[in-house]
Amino acid sequence: MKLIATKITKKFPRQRDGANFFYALHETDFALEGGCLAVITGRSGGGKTTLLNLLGGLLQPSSGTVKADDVDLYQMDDKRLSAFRNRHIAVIPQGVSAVYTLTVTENILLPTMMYGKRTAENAQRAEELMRHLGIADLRDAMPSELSGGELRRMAIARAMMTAPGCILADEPTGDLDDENTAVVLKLLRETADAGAAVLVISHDAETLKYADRVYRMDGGSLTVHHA
Amino acid sequence: MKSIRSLPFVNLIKKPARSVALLILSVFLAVSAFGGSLAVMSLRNGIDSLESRLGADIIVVPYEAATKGSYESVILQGNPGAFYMRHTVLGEIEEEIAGVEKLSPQYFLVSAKAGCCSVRVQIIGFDPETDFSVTPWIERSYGKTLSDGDVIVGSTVEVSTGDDIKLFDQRVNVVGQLERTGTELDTAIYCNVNTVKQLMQAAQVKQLVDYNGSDPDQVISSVLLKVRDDYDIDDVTSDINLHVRGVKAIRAKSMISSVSDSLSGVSSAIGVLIAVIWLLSLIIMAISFSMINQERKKEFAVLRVLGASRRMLSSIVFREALMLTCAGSVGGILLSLLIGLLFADSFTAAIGVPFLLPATGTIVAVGAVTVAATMLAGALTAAVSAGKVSRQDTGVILRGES
Ligand SMILES: Nc1ncnc2c1ncn2[C@@H]1O[C@H](COP(=O)(O)OP(=O)(O)OP(=O)(O)O)[C@@H](O)[C@H]1O
Ligand SMILES: [Mg+2]
Repeated sequence: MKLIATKITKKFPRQRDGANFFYALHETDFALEGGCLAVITGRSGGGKTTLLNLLGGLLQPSSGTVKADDVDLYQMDDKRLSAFRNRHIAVIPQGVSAVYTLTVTENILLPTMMYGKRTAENAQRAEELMRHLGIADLRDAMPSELSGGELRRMAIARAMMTAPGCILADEPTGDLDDENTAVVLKLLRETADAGAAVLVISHDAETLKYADRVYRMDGGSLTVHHA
Repeated sequence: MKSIRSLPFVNLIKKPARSVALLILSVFLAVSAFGGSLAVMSLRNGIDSLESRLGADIIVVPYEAATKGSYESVILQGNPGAFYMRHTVLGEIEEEIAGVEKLSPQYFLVSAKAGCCSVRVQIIGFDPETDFSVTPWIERSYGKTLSDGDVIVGSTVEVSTGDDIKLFDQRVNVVGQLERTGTELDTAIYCNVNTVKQLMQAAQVKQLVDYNGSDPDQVISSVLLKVRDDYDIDDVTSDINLHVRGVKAIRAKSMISSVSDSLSGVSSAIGVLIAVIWLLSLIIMAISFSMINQERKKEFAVLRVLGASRRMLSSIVFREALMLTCAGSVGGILLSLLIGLLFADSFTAAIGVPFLLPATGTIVAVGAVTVAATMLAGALTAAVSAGKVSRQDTGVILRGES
């Protein structure tokens, strides 16, 4: 899948420099094609999460368009956009994103249960992902019993569940130790190699080793760091 | 969990404190609506039964009984009690008063602890030839006229049809049992004039009763009167009071309406109470849902990230609310019924009006309306706050504290 953002901006209402709003993202063009793993780094508050949400169909841009292949995300109605995101775009949000009433396995299976039933095949895949990410022992645990790093890996497994064409990961290795960081990054790299478009936001120098392209985001402006 | 459809149920189970709080609110709604309406209806029924039970326009009692005020509880509620006047009152009314359509005497006698009963019971004798008050009532349960030596008993007298019981050492035969009235009349024993005279004689022999020094054959306790359509009941009432010595005629309606007035006060008080409870519960419910959904914003945002549409979120919130309010209202209905069954009798005793539950069909209908209204209230209050949450951009909600 190829994600193309054209002339997108995002402004938020907030008193700053005498104006009633400010741009969290200045006008930006951005493209991410299948097979590519891009990394965005940058200072806190620079607008990285804002861009990621815009790309994931989670935040209406103030102007500009976001297309996935030829589909304009923000032209779709909520029902179609939701189903499209479920099928094709996996977002790993910054911070904790567990559904606390469900077990780890159920959390991971959740995307496949949104528009379908739980199947043995999916359960099998969830099990493999958990094993790969080292959280297989926690399959029946509740999220409240998990550490920050374990929750992170659960969210990653969940994003992989539907084998999406596009993965948008917001600091996926934030809480992880070196060993698990390597596991996660390898997994993301493999997914990109298998054809997915992968965007990773990270402050981690380690991440850069896996990147095809690196961007910097500061003050709402995106610059290519090196390609 | 097999599919997203079971998520609402899972959420309820996994957040018991939240669920129980909302459940209790729904129980409140249901108890007030169902219990309240049922209470009002039961009181109405009670009044109706009093009126039809009496069936008379005017009641004539001895003057002393009227001044002591004891007649009301005896005639309306069937509290054990007796008073007597000369039996010639009957003839005097017939001769001197115009506009009387029907009239019939009644005889009261209070049994000592009878063979059947551990408490004193009211024995009410009537004249089958002229009676129009008790007979229709008896015909419904018995279907025949009472022969001498036969009695028919109220619903709570603990004997079976066919039993022989002893009253003042006289053997009488129980031929039937009346339907429930919700008053002390349920503990009364009815018989015809010959039987009651025989019992009155026996009581006098045992020196248990004194008939103002007269022979039992020479007394009656009250006269029930029906007035002809072309006469004014008030006129006939004052006519009797004017012309017949030593008695007091009372308009039946005025007797009941004093009860009925206080009842309509009670009904409207209950109505106001229901309205207040509903208003408060609805406000609390709306606030609870809005707080809960606020707290669950992040959870909803995660579901959105994973591909849930706004509609799916609403349906989850909706179904949770429906399940809770359904369970809560059914629980509330059962609770009200339990309270009703346990306390109906003490209620009756307290307010002096029979407390008669409406027919099962009516109860079921009121129950169904209660469940529907409670579920609607829950669904609406939940929907309002859920709608507010899901209108926001997911990306914005996600930023919220985790
Ligand atoms: N909904 C919002 N309303 C107002 N301001 C917002 C909103 N969302 C983001 N911002 C502001 O936009 C700017 C960019 O935020 P963003 O979350 O994209 O930064 P970031 O680069 O992801 O930071 P971090 O590395 O700390 O996650 C910040 O100054 C933030 O305060
Ligand atoms: Mg961020």
